[in-house]
Amino acid sequence: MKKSARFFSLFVTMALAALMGACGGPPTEAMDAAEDALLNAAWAEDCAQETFRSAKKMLDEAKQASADGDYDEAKRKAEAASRLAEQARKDAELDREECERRKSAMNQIDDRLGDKDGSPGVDRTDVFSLATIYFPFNEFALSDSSQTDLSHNAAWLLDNQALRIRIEGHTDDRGSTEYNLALSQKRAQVVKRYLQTLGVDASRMTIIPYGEEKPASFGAGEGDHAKNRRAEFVTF
Amino acid sequence: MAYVLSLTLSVFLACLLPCFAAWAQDAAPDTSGNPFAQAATTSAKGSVEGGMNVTEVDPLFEIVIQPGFEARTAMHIVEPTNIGDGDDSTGVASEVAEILRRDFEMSGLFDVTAASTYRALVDLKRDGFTTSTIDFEAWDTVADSSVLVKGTYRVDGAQVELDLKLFDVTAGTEFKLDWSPSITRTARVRDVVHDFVNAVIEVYTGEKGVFGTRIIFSGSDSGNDRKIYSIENDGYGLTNYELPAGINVLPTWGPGGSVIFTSLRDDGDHVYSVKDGEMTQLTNGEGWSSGADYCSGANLVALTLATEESPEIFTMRPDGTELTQITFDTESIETSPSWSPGCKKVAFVSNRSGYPQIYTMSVDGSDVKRVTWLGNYNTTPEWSPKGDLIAFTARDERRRFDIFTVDANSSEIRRLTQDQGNNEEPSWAPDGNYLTFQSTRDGRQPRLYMMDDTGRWQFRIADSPGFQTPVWQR
Repeated sequence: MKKSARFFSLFVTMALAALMGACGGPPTEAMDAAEDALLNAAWAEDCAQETFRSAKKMLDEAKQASADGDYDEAKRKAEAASRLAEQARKDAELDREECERRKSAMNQIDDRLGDKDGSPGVDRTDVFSLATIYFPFNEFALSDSSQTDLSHNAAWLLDNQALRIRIEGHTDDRGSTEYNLALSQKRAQVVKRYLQTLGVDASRMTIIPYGEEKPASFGAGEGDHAKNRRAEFVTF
Repeated sequence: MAYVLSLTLSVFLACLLPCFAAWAQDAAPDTSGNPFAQAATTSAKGSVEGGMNVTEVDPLFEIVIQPGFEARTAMHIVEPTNIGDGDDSTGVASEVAEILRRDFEMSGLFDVTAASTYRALVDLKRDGFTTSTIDFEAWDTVADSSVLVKGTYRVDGAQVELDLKLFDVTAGTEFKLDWSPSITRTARVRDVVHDFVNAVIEVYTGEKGVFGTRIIFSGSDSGNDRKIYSIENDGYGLTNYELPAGINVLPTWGPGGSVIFTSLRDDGDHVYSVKDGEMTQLTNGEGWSSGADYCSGANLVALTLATEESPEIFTMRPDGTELTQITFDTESIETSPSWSPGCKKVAFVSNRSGYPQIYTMSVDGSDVKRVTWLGNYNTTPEWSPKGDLIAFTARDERRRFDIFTVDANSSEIRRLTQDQGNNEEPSWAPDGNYLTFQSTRDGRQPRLYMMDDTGRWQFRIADSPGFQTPVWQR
């Protein structure tokens, strides 16, 4: 009897905690922590681009969720943003020298952009996003529109000789892990080869196949699958 | 302990679930953007229309497989009786009975009677442990043509002496088993009971059962990370290999209990092996490797290595030396190698026909033969340790993934799963009588299952979601 009473009170405490978590106010603390983490990692933005951007995006989503009154979601996302920002900082610290090189390359481009259109405050993240290339299910051939996108990417890369790129191949999550890894290698490889024919030096490009392991979209609809069948670019 | 581990893991994974809520809500297959929709369309009779290279349609493509095995033997399992001095509070009796029940049910060979059913018909207090003291008449009223498992045990400190017996109720006889009573540490009771079950299975199939063997797989972690785990085939004893964080996938068993796996890192995809916590990188330099299969008879690893041009199949020693390329078709993908039992041949996937299909070749790359001619997405070949069957995953005409076997010589196809989510990545048990695989029948995230080689008997191994690419230890 005594034992079950104790269990009951434990249960009630847990239920209350869960309720409070769900119905409490905005997760101010977690959001502040995430803002701090992003500030701390700001210097690393050029070196751990992808992770830093994810952190930023995650914090935006947290804010949105908080505004929508979904505080649980907001808290989760804010905490994830903190973790990602911390990861970006760590990644960048691993190789300070390389980071400085990338930064100066970025700055040169900033300067040039500033000269060109007189607006030094251009958001680099927009300017630098090389178009992602998408593929149909189980295919690695480039469509006409992909070839057009790649010619724009190539032109930009030829303008910015100081930068190197990593081409990441991906698939959707249908089919075997092993086959998808091979398929994603082919996708990245085909993109690299096409950029090469457009004059981009092979030594500036590395590829990495990720198979189905790094989806851009977590859904199971065809829209999600289509977003995941891609070759992405990371500059460094 | 194992249970707590797996519970912790499942709770942990469950906590991740909200992140995937949107994913789960949209589980209905939507294939509107599929470029092969036309080619894959089938008529009611199952013939494939369009430009596919199809010889004939096997009628078995049409059979609906449902779990449920008609020919199971009725079995009564009685908790072993304590014959030691004084009361026993270790719970050995109920633990042994529970392991027996789960193993025998998982085997698909036995229909285990509920204890409440036989308690009403048999006077357990007076029933003995020998053919002359067991009331076989009473047991016979419980079920026709049944068998009975009874036993005794004695606890001495941290040790247990366990004796188990199998009786034929109708004949009133005891089966001779290749198993003898043993004294063991309490913590190892599970292994001893598995051994008993394996000996009983030998009576029915002529081969020892496979309980107590392990299955290795990759499990989801936070974000994109994947970890490597192994688990006993009964779903207990979950072990994390504690590898460096990252995307660690496609584990398989290497020599001497080592594990070979692929790690995807920003500086390249490479194959590693790990044993006793020590990690060794097996592939280096140029190229991206993925997935491997070890064959002990030849002490060779077959693996996929993507050269500058395309993924091809190579062989090497388990320490990474003597790397030898055996496929050379740079226009297409060659991957997923699986050794034949004697290490003479390799089954693999190639899309040289335009779609992924299963092929076999000799270990030197000669004598290439296409073995699947149906469907347009056949992957993950797994050569049976028994001989000529190759299990594989096919994407069928409804764009669902299911498990089939194909005869390596005759190309005859048999279907093992259907209408229960997506079923993928089969791997044979060491006896070639069972397979483990992943399925989404109980949720969007794959879980681990096993089935017999007909697919008639299927059983979930572990409840935790996010377990994939299982490989049975052989």
